[in-house]
Amino acid sequence: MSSHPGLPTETIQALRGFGRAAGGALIFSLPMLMTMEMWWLGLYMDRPRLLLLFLTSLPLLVLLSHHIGFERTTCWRDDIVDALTALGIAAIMCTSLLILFGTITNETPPQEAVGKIVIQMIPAAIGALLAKSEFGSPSGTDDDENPQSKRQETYGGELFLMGVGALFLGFNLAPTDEMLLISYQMSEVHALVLVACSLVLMHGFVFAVGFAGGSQISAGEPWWSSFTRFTLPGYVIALGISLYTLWILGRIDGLHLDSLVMATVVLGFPSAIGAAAARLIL
Amino acid sequence: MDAEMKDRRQRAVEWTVGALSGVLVLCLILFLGHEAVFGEVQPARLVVSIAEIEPMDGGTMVTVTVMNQGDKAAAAVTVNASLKEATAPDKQIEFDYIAAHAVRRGAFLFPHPVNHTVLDIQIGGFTEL
Repeated sequence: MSSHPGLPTETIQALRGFGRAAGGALIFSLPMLMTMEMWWLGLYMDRPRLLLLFLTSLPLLVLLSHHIGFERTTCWRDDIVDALTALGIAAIMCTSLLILFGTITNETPPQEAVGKIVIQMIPAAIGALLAKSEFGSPSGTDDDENPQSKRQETYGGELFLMGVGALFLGFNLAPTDEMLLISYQMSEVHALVLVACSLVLMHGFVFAVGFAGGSQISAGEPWWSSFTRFTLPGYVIALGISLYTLWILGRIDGLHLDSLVMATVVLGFPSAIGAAAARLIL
Repeated sequence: MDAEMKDRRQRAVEWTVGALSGVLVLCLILFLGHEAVFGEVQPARLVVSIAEIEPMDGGTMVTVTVMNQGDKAAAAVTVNASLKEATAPDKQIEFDYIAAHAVRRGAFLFPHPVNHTVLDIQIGGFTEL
């Protein structure tokens, strides 16, 4: 890596950090930045729900920073600063790209522009926070290779990561019409098979990826043990995140209980994969 | 000893969370199973009604609600509005989908005052999924 004469090392590292975070934000938010349903949501989405989405994302980002942020933090204050930094980088990236795509112009009303940016900021901020795990640390070392810097992983932490994985994949798909259309096309028998598929695939990922820390799955452990302790809670989290995402985006307004359950099971499928593969994605 | 206790406590938490999750997933499976076995499958049955007639600048906004009382979703649902004894052409709005037992709202705009007595609202048609 070439040095940059005239710039202090701290400045170079900070710039690299911002660059990595911007890259992470770009990777995580690009599919949604280029999806027209997301632009429309920014236009018509219920403002109290948009505010709720933004407010609930703050503790999520702080917790995410605590678990796997773009720098090793030692206290909650650092996590809050990192979460706010990630949101700031996400705001810059989303605003720039929405302007570049012509989705926000000088004729766009401020209320609409803010709606379009805020709804895109959440996945982008998650991407910015996860930039380190996506691209590695600037010095070429990784925390995974350094046992001393590795944070102790807990069962709650594992379930939280599953939730973030579910949110990442679920939030990508929840705004699309296809989620509801698929649920309308399916019968309850299809839904039962989809629940079974979600659980089987999730469990496959849980075994393939494994879980670290105090909750490690040992080789001699029966399948139903890890299925009960990880796969079932992970699936319930995925369903909960799916229901929350569908509701907050106004996708299930006016739906009867049957249709609501069907839509949740449909979105629960990709969310379950996201939850189970959280260790790979995040 | 402490580590052993901590490990045992953690296992207990994991099994409790797992058992609760199992109950929730079982409830979901029972609900879907019950609907699959005992749920009736009536075709889409659409009912339209006027929810609100609101005067606005230069005309009237007529808000309608469409309810699907059937057990199957309907697609491309068109609703027509016409004024009785008027020569003006019908107005039409289209809903992309209306799920089973769901309610959707839409609105017609008229450039003049209208009321219930002169307004005729009907479902134009729909396609099955």
